[in-house]
This record gives sequence, structure tokens and C-alpha cells, in this order.
Amino acid sequence: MNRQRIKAIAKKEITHVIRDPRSLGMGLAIPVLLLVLFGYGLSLNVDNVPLAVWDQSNTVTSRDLIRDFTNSEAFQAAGVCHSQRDTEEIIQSGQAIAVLVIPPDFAEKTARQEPATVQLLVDGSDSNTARLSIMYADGITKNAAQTAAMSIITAYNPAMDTTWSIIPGLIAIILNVIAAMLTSLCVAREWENGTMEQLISTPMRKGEFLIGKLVPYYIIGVIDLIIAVLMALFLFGVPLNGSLPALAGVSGMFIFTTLSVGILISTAAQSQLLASQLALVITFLPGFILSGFVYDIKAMPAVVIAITKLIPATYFVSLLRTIFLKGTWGMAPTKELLFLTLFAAVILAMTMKKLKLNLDGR
Amino acid sequence: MLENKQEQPAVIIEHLTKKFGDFTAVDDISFTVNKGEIFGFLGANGAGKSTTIRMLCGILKPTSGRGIVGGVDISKTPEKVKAFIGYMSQKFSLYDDLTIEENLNFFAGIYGVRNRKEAVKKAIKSADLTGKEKKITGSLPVGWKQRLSLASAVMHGPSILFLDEPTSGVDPITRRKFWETIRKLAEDGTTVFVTTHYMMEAEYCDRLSIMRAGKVIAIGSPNKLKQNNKKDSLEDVFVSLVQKGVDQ
Repeated sequence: MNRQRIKAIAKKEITHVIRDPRSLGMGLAIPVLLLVLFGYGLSLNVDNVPLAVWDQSNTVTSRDLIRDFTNSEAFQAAGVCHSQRDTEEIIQSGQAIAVLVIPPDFAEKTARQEPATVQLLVDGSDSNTARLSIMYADGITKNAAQTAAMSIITAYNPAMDTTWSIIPGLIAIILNVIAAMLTSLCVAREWENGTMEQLISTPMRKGEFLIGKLVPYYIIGVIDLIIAVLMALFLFGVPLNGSLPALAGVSGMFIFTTLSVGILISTAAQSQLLASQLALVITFLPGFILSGFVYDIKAMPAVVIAITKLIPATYFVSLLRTIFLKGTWGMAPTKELLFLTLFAAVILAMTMKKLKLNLDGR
Repeated sequence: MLENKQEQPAVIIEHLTKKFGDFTAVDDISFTVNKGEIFGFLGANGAGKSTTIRMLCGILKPTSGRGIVGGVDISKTPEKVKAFIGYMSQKFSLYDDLTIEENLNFFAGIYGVRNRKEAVKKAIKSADLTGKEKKITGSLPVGWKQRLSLASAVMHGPSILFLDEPTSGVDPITRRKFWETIRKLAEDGTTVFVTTHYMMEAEYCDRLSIMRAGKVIAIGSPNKLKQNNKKDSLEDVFVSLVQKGVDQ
């Protein structure tokens, strides 16, 4: 290993990135954009949710409660129901996303300081809006009557995520895709531009080549991570309950793992186009669908669960959620870190095998 | 001096063959190149010149036969060959998005050139590109690019230099300068292996080999080739030899 050679390669690679606005944009702007889009899209924009009402109590107390709902920013009046069928139809038609059902004995019970229950029927097909509606509704009801409780019935999608788990998971998914995309071009580009022919005529070794290629993108990956974490903390207000070193350690290893996947793809693919598309499909799809970010892994069939265990993003999503929200390392963090390390080692070994410093097979 | 040269040839090729599937690009060729010699490689397109050079540079594996470059076996330890050769490929293969200076700095770093700043400065001067260091390489005219490639290929002081059509697309003045550089390098002991399509350039070589369909069909000094084939010019020699192959 010649350190000077690694330095030369890394420096050259950084110059490529700086000269090419597209790769710089992909490296730094797209993660921010994705985080803002998905972050807000998935978690915060709930206002004026159309709310229908079935007021069986029909008293001053119940009308006060309804006014509290419609006066809030979260809800707006969207119709009145008179029967169970009405409530179902109004949700099915999409005219209302939630229906507030106030029982006949509501006023009496509240007056007697007895526990009273109102019912909120929610369209869960948009789980995010549903989840936030419930939170708001719960707050409004408790404000109106100390003794009131809310019973919730969710239509269409009973299983729902908790609020803040989205952002840490999102950081994992974005880093997953961006890191792989970053390195996916760097070897294929040399072959496509013909510059590899000159490079392989030099005494440069495979290891020097790969390390020199990885270092600049690792720096970009870490910058992305820092930006994403700062956005999570200060823009989205996600609490960081766990330790910062834990976050840095786990993320640092994950970025390395995914960069390795990208560089393997770049080495195996013959063109930049193919490489970037492969990187997107290989990291984004499993990362999004199977990592537990969107769908609960526990609810998957055994075979699929086994597959999720082979995907680095699965570990990263759960570790980030744990570190951010629970503040602990989870049950056995060393196991996850060990997996990520082993995964990277296998991928890099495959890359070394696949990388040929000659023109045979081209 | 001549005796010493012949004692230790810079390149020894014995029955060297390269096949790509069913196609034989280089077909059982054998010859030696002496130290400090300018060795010209002629042949029609696709005759196997580039394939031979690539094998000798250690970037293409021979299918069979043996090649010894600077005492190193190209089949067994191609990576060792790369330390003391310079290679300028047929297609421009420096980085278009880097500046002239950045390209040279990069290759100086890869080769571990000492006094890198000095070496890069010298290379820029030798390529006649002083004052243009910060220009982006992709925007340069072909002639400048070729000059830069050559400067980059010799910056680390290789003992054997492989030039694959270094002067294609280059104006006559630059071409003459190129050959001045090549001659100077040879005088300093560098062995230069060069392919070309220009017969004027072939005249500058100490010895020539002519390839046709993967085989070496003639080898010798320009004068000897003319005598042997009873022709007045190299062009006539070349055309008659290559034509024979077509007639057969």
C-alpha cells in the first residue's frame, strides 16, 4: 500500500466531484431535498382534516365540543351524520377523513364528572393523517372535558406507525441510497471514458485504487449524515435520546457498508447508466420495503423475515430508531455492528476479485 | 556500445499469441528490441499492433508464448513491468475534466515521482504548455492533448516507452517536435516502441516491423527493408507487403 498513491487518487476523485455539478448535487442537495419532502410529506402537514359529526347527545355540552373541533386548525366541518351507515358512507366517499361520534349520555356523564367516551372513526388508509388526527382529537377532547376518554376506531389500516420513528428511519433510507449511488459511478466512469487504460498501465494496486476511491465519498457520506441529523434535531424536532458517539459509530459503519455495495456494482457493471440504475434498485427497493421503515417486519412471512436480516438497511433503520427515540443501543448492538462489518468485508472481497487491472474481459 | 545493447535486449518476444475467442489478434510473433532503440511498428488497422503493445505493457494477458520486458515476464508478473514503463494509448486517456496541471500532478503522484512540483513544471515545459497549466484538458486541441499525454507518460523516467499512434491527428510541426523528443529520449537510453501510419515517421526508426493479420511479416532497418524488397520508399515496401497478404 502506497499512501502517496492513495492520496493522489482521492484528490483526483474529489476534483471530479467538485467539477461535476450533477454529482455534487446528488451528493449533497438530494439528501436534503428528500429529507424535507418525505419528512414534511410524511409527518407534519395535517390541518383542516375534514371531520363529520354524529351528535347523538345534541346538547350544549356536545355542541361546545364540536365547536372546539371545528375551531381548531386541525379540523374543519365536513358534514353531519345521523346513523351508523351515514358515518361509514361519508368516510368511504372521502368527504370526511374522520367522524366524531358523541353518545347520547355524553352531557349527563360530563355533568356528573363521570367518565364519558366519545368515538372517533378514522380513515386509516392514509396512516399519517389518521395518526395525527387522532392525536389532535384526543387533545381537544381532554381539554373540553377532563373526564372524557376517546375510543378510536380506525378503518382500513389498523396498524400505524408512531410519529418520530419516521425521521430516523428516513435518514437511514436516504443514506442507504445516496451512499451507493455516489460510488456506483466511480469505477464504471473510468472504463467508459477510457481513462482506466492509462491507470492500469501504472504500478497502482487494486487496494490503493479502492481506498483512494472510497475516501472522498466517505467524507461526502459523513457530511450528509451530519446535515440529516441536524435537520432531524432542529427542523423536525426529533429528540436524540441516545448518545451521539453511538449514533456516529453505527452510522459511520453503515455508510462504509453501503459505499462498498456501490463500488462493487460499479466494478461489475460495464456502464455508468447500468451501474447507477442497479445501485438505485439494489439499495432503494429492499431498503424501503424490507427494512422495516414502511412495513412492520414482525408482520412479514418467515421467509421474508429471513431476507430482511440480510439487508444492511434493516439494521440501520432499527438502530437509528433505537438511538434517537429509546436512547438505548437496543438489545444487542454489537451483533448489528458485527453484521455491518462482515457485510462490508464480504462485499469488498468480492470487489477485489471482480476488479481487474487489465483489459481482459472488457 | 552496440555490443552492450545486444547483450541485454529491452524486449524479448517469443511465440507471443493473443486470441479473443476464435479471433487470433496476435499470431505467434517473435523478435527482440534492443536497449535505447527506436522500434517502429507498422501495419494496417487491426493487424495486431495495439494488442501487442498492450500485452507488453502488462494490461492484456498473452494467450500463449512469452514476453520479457526489462527482464520481467509479462505473463507471470505484469504488475512489475508497470513500474518502469511509460504507455501512451491510442485513444486519449487522461482526465478531460481535470486541468493540465492536475492531470500531471495525479500521474506524478501515482508513479511516486520525486520533487513532484519540479517534475510537473518540467513536463509542462517539455510539452510546450507553459502558461496553460490551468486549462481544462477536455477543451484542448488534439495536438495539445497528445503533447500532454507524452509528457505524462515520460514524467517518471521510464526505461521503456510504448507509444501507440502518438502522432495521429497532430499537425506537422508538433509531429516533428514529437520526434525530436523521442530521439532525445532514445539517446538518453530509453527504449521507444512506437506504432505509426506515417511512412515519414517510420524512416526515423532504428528498426521496423511490419504486421499483417497478427503476424510479423518483415523486420529490419528502414534501409534493409527497402533493399530486401527492392523498393525506393518505405511506402512501396509497406503497400507491396500488405497487398501480398490481401492477394493470398
